Amino acid sequence: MSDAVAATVEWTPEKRRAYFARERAGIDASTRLPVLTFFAASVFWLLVGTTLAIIASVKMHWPEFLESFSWLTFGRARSAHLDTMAYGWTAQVGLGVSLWLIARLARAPLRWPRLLVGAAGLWNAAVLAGAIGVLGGQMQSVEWLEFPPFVAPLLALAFVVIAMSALTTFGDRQEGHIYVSQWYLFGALFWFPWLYVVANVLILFQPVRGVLQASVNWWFAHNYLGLYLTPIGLASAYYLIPKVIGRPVYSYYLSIIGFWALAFFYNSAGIHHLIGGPMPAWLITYSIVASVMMLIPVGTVAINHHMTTVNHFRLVLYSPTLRFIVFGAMSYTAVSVQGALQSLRTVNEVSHFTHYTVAHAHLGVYAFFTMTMFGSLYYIVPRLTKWEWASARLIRLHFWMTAGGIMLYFLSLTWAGWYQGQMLNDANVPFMDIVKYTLPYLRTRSIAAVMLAVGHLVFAYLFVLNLLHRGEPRRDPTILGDVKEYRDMIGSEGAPQ
Amino acid sequence: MNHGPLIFLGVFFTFASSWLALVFTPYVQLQHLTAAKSGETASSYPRPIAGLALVGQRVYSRDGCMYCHTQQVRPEGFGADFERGWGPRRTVARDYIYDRPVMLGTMRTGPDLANIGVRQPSVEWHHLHLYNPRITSPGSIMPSYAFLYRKQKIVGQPSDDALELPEEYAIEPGYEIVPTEEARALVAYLLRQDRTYPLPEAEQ
Amino acid sequence: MSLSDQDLMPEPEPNEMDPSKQRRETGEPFNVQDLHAPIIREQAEPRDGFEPVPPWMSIFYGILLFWGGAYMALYSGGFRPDVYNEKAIYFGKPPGGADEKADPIAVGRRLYTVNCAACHQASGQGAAGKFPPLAGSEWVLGSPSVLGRILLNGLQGPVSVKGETYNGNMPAFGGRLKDDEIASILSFIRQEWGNSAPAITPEQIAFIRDAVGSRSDPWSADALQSLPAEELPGGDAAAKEENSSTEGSTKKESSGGT
Repeated sequence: MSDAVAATVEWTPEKRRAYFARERAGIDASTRLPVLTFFAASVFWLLVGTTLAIIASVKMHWPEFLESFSWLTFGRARSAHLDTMAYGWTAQVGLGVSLWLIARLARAPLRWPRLLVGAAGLWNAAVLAGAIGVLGGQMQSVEWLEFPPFVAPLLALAFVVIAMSALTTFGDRQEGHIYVSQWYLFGALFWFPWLYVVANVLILFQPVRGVLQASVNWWFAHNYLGLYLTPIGLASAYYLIPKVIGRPVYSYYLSIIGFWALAFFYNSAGIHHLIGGPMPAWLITYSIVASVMMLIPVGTVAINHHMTTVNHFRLVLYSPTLRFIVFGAMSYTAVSVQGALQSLRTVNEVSHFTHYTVAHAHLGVYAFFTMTMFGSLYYIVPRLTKWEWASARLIRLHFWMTAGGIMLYFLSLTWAGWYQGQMLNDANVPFMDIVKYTLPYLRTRSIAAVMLAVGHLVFAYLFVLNLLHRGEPRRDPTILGDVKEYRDMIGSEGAPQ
Repeated sequence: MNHGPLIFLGVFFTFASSWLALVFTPYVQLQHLTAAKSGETASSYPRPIAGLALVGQRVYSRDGCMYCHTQQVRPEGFGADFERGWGPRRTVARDYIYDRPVMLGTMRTGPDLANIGVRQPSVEWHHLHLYNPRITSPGSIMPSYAFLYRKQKIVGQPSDDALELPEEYAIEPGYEIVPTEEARALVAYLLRQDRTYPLPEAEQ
Repeated sequence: MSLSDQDLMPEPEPNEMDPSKQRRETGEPFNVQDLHAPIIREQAEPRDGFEPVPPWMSIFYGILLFWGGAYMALYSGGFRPDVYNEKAIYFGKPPGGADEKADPIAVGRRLYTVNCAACHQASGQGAAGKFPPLAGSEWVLGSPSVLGRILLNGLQGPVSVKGETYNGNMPAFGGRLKDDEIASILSFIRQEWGNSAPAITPEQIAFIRDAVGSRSDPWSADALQSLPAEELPGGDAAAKEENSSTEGSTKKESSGGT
């Protein structure tokens, strides 16, 4: 509606609310098919990746488990787990959330929904082919890029189509103000294809010489988390925290500092994975400095989110979205501070080459990103399916299984990894003693993996019920905790779920 | 920040800065590294990986050995790589100019393999260890790579390369375990792991 | 007013994907009854607040940036591609390793890990049927002449150790290790895991190397057992005397280390 036309309407608060509600319904309708396609596919890959994770985890303390199947030998199962989680789950659920947010924030319907469904099909076919390739013996030992080389062009093509649709929708925006979430999404959609194409060309198609492959590898792998998953996670936190609470984001200035500091520093942090390795000193020092400077964007975002939520923390008792997102946002602060410390040479001397790093990676990809995505899905899906979540009890079970599981995972491996590193650095400790020391912690990790798997199954079940409109039709949101108490607390206006 | 093109420029330049620092500059510095030549013997180091070892490199990559074994030695005084005897010196960029892909690794569930060819030169040991790691290294959690070995009926004399399994791991009489082409290639690749050649840049 | 309220309304279902529902979306102007509940109850889109940046934060970030610049300058290694040690340019050689080289047992321990532990294990217990133990082995504790020959040329065929028979292939190390290195390894295995036999000197290994001459075939256990006795430099008596004084100190060291 043009300004001139809008000026002719007598706007009352009710009319305003109704107008925007209808507009949102229209925008959501345009995103329904592609976004739900991405969500459904990503939940499928989440279950596949979880199965592979359990297999790999058990093999670590029980090497005879399934040992005669070359397809599931540890190296392949572990890599198939990583790649299905990275490209099947995180990348896709991130795309779904990004597309929905882009359309919502631009206040414009999503462009080319059917083309997006086609791109999703291509993406999933490529991930499937890649996963089979990894298990079947076509694996490349390049971390985060284990898929057989032919998969890369397909993934890149699908992503470019998706990014074009998102950026065109961004171009259609009716809203003059560009909200902070949009900066992050814009960055993620632009950075990922550049990263992915450059890394694949320089490592698999026209390999650069020797250790340059390793530096390109870690430039990519670290930035996959830093410049793709992190911006999407932060964009949804920046959108959903104020949306659910119904207050403005604390400070626009902090948003600006946080975004540009992330864009500048996260970029260059990747080579801290090669400390002590065959890399010129300056390159490693440069990445260490960039990693420590990450305290700037992280501190800024943490303060911005905290000050937005402050006085409203009680809402995490009721809102599934807020509960998962607050857990994710806190984990983001934790993982980033840990990462900055871990990049220092003295700490890295111990933590490098151990389970400590594995725990750190899961704190980032799971406790931060995956939990934030669960929170986002609890918000977005009912708006697309027009159906409330079937069971608050199952949502609670999902939360406690995943939150408890990842904490158990993180604590056991961090502890084991730190002592593993101390022992590795003492040449008097025989190597086999170190292996034996880690065994109980590796078993604990398998227990944690089973807890996470239970959480994922519960979530997948809820998601399917929602898609199929099973359960009682309701107009009330599915709220954790006592519904009456919750109504008293929020009053009549708005609703945090 | 309500100006789209401005955001685009910022996003572009921040990213370009890391591309310049972490990809382009190292490329200029290291892409043209050459093998070191020793004056006396006219031998050069490293040698390109070829023949059976090249097939072995593919097996090493395909089965993901890298995810538990590094191929890099940290400098003396940083960790205990030197004291553990994993190498006489740190590894440097020149050690890897012929590796494709470069499998430095980031995890040491098992020991470093940068110099495994020097540390354990026995072909027989490697075959036993790959067939079942617990034969040579009791308590190991390494997976068995028995799928790289073939069980066959002994016809006449046992094969030259049949594994001499200890009693505890013996198979039914009349049969023997022999390495496949892939197993022999993998061992050839492992025996080639020798990064002990003295390089000046590694002695700082 | 030429436009009705109805004309102003955004279409809730603007695309063709769900045309059956589009037909039903007619009703009162600004009517929300036909929309699903989550959309109606939703709060307004997020806005920005404009709180200022706290001053302590600017100060903290300033300090961080200063630290970053200083760290980069100190450890840049001159931005050279051939400088790997970040302290090379400013602080000279890193510490460590210098003391160890003087102590043959410590050197022996390191060389043992490199060359021997894969078969004989870090515990010196070997592996059943394949690799004989070194701890308590009569071969290790016995004659330096025999032990030196095994290391120099290797050992092939069945060998009986502590009453058990082992059949393996011990490779030759004579071509790979120098006399002092072999002596260190042998001294180490003779005094580790509860073993206590006199140390072996580089001179003794040099003597054995001379005696062996150009032989390149591995030994068999029988051939070694039928060797004639030979007089090594620094003979048995001297070694025994020396041992009684040094044993205490080396023992202490190895127990302190493990």
